[in-house]
Amino acid sequence: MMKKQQIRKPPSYDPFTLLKNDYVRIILTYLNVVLHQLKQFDLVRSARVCRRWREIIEKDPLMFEHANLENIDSSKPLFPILKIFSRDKTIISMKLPPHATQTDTAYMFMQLPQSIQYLKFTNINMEFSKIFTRKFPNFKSLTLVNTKNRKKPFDEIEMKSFLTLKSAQELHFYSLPWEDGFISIFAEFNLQVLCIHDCPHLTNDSLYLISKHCKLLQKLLVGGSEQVYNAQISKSGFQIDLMHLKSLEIRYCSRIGDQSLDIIAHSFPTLTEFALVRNNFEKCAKISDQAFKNMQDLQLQRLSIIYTRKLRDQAHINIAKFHQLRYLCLRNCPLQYDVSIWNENCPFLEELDVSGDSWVSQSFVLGIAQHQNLKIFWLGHFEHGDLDCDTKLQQYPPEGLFLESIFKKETSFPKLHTLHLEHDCNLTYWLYARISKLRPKLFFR
Amino acid sequence: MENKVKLSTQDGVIIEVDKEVACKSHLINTIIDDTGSEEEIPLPNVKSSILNKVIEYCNMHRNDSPPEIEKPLRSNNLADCVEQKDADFINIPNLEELFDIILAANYLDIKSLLDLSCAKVATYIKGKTPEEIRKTFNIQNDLTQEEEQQIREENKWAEETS
Repeated sequence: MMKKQQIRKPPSYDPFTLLKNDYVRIILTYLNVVLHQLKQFDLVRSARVCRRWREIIEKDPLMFEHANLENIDSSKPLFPILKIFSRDKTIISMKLPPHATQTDTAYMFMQLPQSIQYLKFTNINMEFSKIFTRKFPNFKSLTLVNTKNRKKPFDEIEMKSFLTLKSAQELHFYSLPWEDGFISIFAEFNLQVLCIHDCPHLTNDSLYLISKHCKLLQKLLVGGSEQVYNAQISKSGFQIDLMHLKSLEIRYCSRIGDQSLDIIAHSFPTLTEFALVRNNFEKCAKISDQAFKNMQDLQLQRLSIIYTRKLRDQAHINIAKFHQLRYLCLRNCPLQYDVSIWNENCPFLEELDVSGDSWVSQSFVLGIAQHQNLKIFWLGHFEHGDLDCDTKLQQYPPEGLFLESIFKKETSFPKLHTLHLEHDCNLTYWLYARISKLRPKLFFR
Repeated sequence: MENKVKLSTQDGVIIEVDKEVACKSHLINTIIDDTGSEEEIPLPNVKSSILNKVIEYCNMHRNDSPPEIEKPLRSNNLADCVEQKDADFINIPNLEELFDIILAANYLDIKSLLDLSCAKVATYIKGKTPEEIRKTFNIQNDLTQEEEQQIREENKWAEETS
């Protein structure tokens, strides 16, 4: 299918001589696979092409502005790579891989230039009091991921050492061993973003402490993990004040249902983004059509509800009250009604995600095809669930032909530029072949 | 309101285009803002054949602006990294022409086209040995054997595999 790119003949002169170093650099930055995948170290290899390339690559610090070592092969020693960065004075972000030891990390931290703004550690089995020893004036965001399953919560000395990074406005934590005592440290930061992923131990008290110590918060994410739900946080946890909160995401919390959303809408009238993420792993409080009604007073621009099987004939009508809506995600939520009411009531809607096990119906697609502004559409399993793609295989083309007929009409999806199809659905290949002929400009994922 | 502009190229050709399309170029946009669109706009650095390609690109993106290209490139097939139409557009087998487009995009100040054409050149470098790269672009190797060996030694940790 793909045409192999062929160059007819080498140019009669070295075309790079026409370009200033700046542009050679732009070209070379596209090769910066280095820090991603050591095996294709194109950049280092390119240093051997000629003297000029070597100088650009070795002396130009901007090459390493974003040092992503996260996916580096764990059999490679890290030390020589970190040494490269020690000659670099302009790194903005640095991500360390899970096999970075305490020694590596401490060394790296000592060498970091003042320009550093973002740090990500994927191994936190170390004593941070021995690592966080310097201050960085421009520091913005810290991410800690507990991939090596550290069990010991931070002790007092470690917690205090975090204060060296207190210019950070964003903290992102993944499966940290949690103790609420940690929250009191945040009072020293001017946090705008706090994301606590995979934390089943957060309680309503934790939320209260967060509201007390992080008054400037604009974005908050809390919740458990896909396998271990948070069963502690409930609706009363959200009876707190966060005057500036614009974005709230609740992940895998089994006690959050329709009524909680009512309280959330009242507590945070400034919210413009809301996301509730769940799966079919645990029995959860009910999310039904009422959920959208309860949040109606919010001026939501982005709304995600992932996984509920309780949407009925009022959900789309209630959603239509969000006139500012730009992004809507109802992944794994079967909603089978004609949603043409959104065409007028949600005129700004740009992206709609009904992917996953969502049994998208014909009338749903007919309705949304008329939307004048929709640019990105995630279709999901059409007229079937995610487990019966095979049995459905017998029945289409009927389903496929229906979708094809919609795309045949030029008035359907007038602004659509990207269509996401399910990667494991049998219908996808057929649809891609047919629709890409009808809409050659459409971008498929 | 006049909605066409005349652009005069290096080789003396005058090309008339929609103002909206021409204004995808920051340079032309600024000129029109300053002096209006009645007069021909001289573009002494651009050949007509290249300008036509650039206009084709601007026309393609008349109503949108393409997203930034992800760095590093995911694959040597540019279609995996950008929209198909952009990948097709920039699939230019003649390297001299491709570099002319880089220069024109830079001169006319059209960032997305500059990025796209630079990324295309990068795909010709990615995955190649230094010798292959030199061959592709007709680059003179001005490193001595010792220097080359030295670079190889320094970066051994990265090159040993594959």
